[in-house]
Amino acid sequence: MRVLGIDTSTLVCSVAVVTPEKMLAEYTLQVKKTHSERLLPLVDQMLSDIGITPGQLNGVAVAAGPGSFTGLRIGVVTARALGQALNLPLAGISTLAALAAQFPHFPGLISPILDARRSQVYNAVFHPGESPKRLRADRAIPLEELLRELAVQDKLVLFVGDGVPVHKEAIVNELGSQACFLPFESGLSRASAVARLGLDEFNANVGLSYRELLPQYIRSTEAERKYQARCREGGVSAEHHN
Amino acid sequence: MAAMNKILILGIESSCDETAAAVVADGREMRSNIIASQVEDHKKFGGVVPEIASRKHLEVINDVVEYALSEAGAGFADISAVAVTNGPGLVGALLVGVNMAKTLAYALQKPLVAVNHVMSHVAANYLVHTVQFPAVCLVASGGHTSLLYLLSRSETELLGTTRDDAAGEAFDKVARVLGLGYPGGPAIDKIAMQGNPDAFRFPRAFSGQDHSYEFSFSGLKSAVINVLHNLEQRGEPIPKADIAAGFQAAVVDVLVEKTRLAAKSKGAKTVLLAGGVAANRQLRLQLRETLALDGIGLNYPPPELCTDNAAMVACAGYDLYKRNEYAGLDLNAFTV
Ligand SMILES: [Zn+2]
Repeated sequence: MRVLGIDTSTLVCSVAVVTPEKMLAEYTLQVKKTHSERLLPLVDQMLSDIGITPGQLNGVAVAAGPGSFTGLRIGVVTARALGQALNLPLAGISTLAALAAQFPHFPGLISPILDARRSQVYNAVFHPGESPKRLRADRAIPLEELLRELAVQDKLVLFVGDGVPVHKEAIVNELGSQACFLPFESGLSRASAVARLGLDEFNANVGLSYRELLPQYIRSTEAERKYQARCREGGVSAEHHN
Repeated sequence: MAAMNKILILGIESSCDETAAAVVADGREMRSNIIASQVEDHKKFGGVVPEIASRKHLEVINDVVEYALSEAGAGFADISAVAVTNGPGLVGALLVGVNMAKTLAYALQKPLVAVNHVMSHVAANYLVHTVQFPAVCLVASGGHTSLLYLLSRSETELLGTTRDDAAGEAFDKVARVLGLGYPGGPAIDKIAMQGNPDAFRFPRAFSGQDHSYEFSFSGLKSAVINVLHNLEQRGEPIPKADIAAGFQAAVVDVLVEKTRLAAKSKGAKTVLLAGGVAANRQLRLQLRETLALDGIGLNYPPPELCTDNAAMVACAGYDLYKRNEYAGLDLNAFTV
């Protein structure tokens, strides 16, 4: 069983192949070039380096969100096309759960944060483990609200994700020594974690068909939010809820 | 099966608000042409919302491809190459089709070809006509207004394009200020039939007599808005049909005159129309009458091939495939 993992949810472009026993390869880039230019050449290079063809894969797992809308779509459409062309099962993995799964032995809570702009972060909170136990659903939340929530927990909290460099100062101000951080190379989204969580789903027979795999954006589009707001102000009932 | 020795191209298109896939044999035989339109999803916003367009493309693109293959009686294995629009268009929307096409080509070990959206509109004509070259093509839609000189299917030269709004964009904007809804092209075409095109005289931007093939429609749009303002200030009723007819007459006059000039000076045997605005009845009528005086023929595709579709992409992609002009796995999308 060989599972291809893909994570294009942030600036990091990461691909990996894992089997139930080991990781065969993981290629990770963090450069300002679009995922459209990087993703497939990276997959191609990796598969030829480990000596397999796309047809020898048994499943594809992709970080399905939250994250950059365009990045998520590139990862998801790539997975969907592989699933359709090669008749493979697919798995959509929470970007945040995949981050948390990289630190199974942390003695406390794990709080991945991704930069969500509009003074919010994408976040969920986990108990560490090889399959992290979820304490909060994936959400977009103001950082201050998240920090207040964590401050009342009498536990160390590990912060990972691309929101950390942006918000580290605010986190330390609020949580002091309760907050833990990693060296910059350790807190990146990694496709091997996505692939391993996907493998668990395929083993449990919960693989998706290409039709069922869609990004988990968490947020509706700006146009829809504004439209809903206009409807509320104007007293007109919104016919479309998203 | 007869399809054995034919070259089948799978075309994919997602540059704006239509998700489309098609199979074309030997660059002219349309085996399938599937279009999932999002027009209804964008109506309430008065125009295409790029993020919504991108989301909708992703939801349906695999099914659209599946349907295009099954209607063509083909499987992935029968396809010779995958052709995809990579621009110009909405980048987020294009990226869905581009990455779909790239990955299919990679997984199936087939060549990938990248098709320019404007050139694919031109190619819609090759699906339904045996075009006499040299030809001049006017591509006019919501996204572009371009005049092209065509020596053959693959030898083309851009003569001129719009400096500001595309023709179809002007239709959409004027339709919006007249409260005619979206999309504007068909709405104006319809109401203009009941109006007097001479009731309001709007400016025609011919760029003097310099034989330039460039277009400009923003001045015309402003002139329409000014007339509306003046009428509103005086509290007078808005004669929508007359204004629409006057506006349409101005656009059509400019398009016809520049196309005629290009066709005559280039010695074209045929003029081709392409793009959504090619469906405008006044444009077709006036162009046919004008060109007939010079003995130049006029070809245009049926309405379903004027708007965005993937048969035209597969058709244009065939020419690239024949010339081995393949795209790499690092193919990106572009806006303009
Ligand atoms: Zn178009």
